[in-house]
Amino acid sequence: MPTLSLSSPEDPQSLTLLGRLRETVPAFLQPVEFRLVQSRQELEAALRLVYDEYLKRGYVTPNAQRLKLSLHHALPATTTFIALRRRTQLLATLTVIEDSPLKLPMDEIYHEELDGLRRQGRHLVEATLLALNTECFGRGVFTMFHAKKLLLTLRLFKVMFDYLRSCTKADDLVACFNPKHAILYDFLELKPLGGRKFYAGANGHPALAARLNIAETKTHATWHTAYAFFYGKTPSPQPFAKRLYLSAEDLRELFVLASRLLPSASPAEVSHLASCYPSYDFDTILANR
Amino acid sequence: MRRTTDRTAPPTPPPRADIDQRTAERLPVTLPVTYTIHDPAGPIEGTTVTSNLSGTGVGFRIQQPVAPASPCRLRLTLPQRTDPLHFTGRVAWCRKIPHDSPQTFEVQVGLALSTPADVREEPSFATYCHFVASELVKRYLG
Repeated sequence: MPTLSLSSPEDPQSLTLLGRLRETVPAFLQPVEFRLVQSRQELEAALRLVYDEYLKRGYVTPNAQRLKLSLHHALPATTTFIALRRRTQLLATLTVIEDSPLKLPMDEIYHEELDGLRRQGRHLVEATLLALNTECFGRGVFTMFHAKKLLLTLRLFKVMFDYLRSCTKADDLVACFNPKHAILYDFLELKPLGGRKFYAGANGHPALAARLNIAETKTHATWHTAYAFFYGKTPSPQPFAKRLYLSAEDLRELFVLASRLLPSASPAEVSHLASCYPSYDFDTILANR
Repeated sequence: MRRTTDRTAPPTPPPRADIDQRTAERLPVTLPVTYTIHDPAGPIEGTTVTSNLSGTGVGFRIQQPVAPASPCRLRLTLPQRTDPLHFTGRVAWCRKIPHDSPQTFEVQVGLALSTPADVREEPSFATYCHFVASELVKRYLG
């Protein structure tokens, strides 16, 4: 189970017995912190949670690092959000990736659909790598009906929306997901962007694509309970100031030594990444061991 | 929750202690419901209101006991909707609720709704799913 060792648990017993606690939903959510990752350790814990959960469903093939890592994580604008209970237990994670010369992960199968939006001058961000820790919740009840799972997911989405509205110029949120999760994205008013396809990025599982015009979500708040919650408090960029910025050593360890993602990248991709980190020596980062 | 069941289903294995085994959250929502329960003794039909509901089932009171696992059909009317939603399901449990007089009672039943394999291909279920999610948000995040 992805458990961070950032600090001593305040109440170790409550963590091990988390699942069987007969606590109310507000009591469950109260000690949960929703924020973006602030350290490489947190990033790796989030990517390990995604890997573990996706492996259970066959969405990834096993890898030695046990991380669901892609070259997009090397981009400084890629932002990973986490739900952390009592400062140690990772309950859920979600990542947003901003459009860039590296394109978006879902370009792999929905490139034409995304290019259609790009041609309209829309700035895209992809919400991806959503994972809930089934060690805490089990898999028996559909997320939409499980109060803790649903509210945890929506709280995570609220942080993401706050971030998008206060720290980015994103016009559209796009997402690519297994059709069995479509009801959640329907509930959040994402509109169909692309039909059913098979996604190598999800180990050949089927996928659907959807988009959300972010500017339109403000009107959703007048009639949609989830958006009323998302727009309940004006976001401030302040909570997002303390975010992870990968060092040259992090880039080398994660994307060269552990995964070989950077050496496998195209010259254009490497060049773009180098432009994102003008003070880093990419020859040293990419050097053989 | 302690529950007295008049006609019980076979016991299930004990739940794993370290995982939240509670089923979907029950919400105290009142909705008009029309039901047909195909009890072995004969069909039971009626119209009443729900006492609670969740994503996986609904609860309401009827006038006579029914056998667990009896198949049933339901029509639920959501607020601000005139067209009812249609469901099939089974009786999950039932229990007698005594009144002041020992001779009179009502029966609380819990019906488990049949979940379609693809929720989006079943418009009633998708609508119901959104309604339950909205009620959960209103209750806990509103």
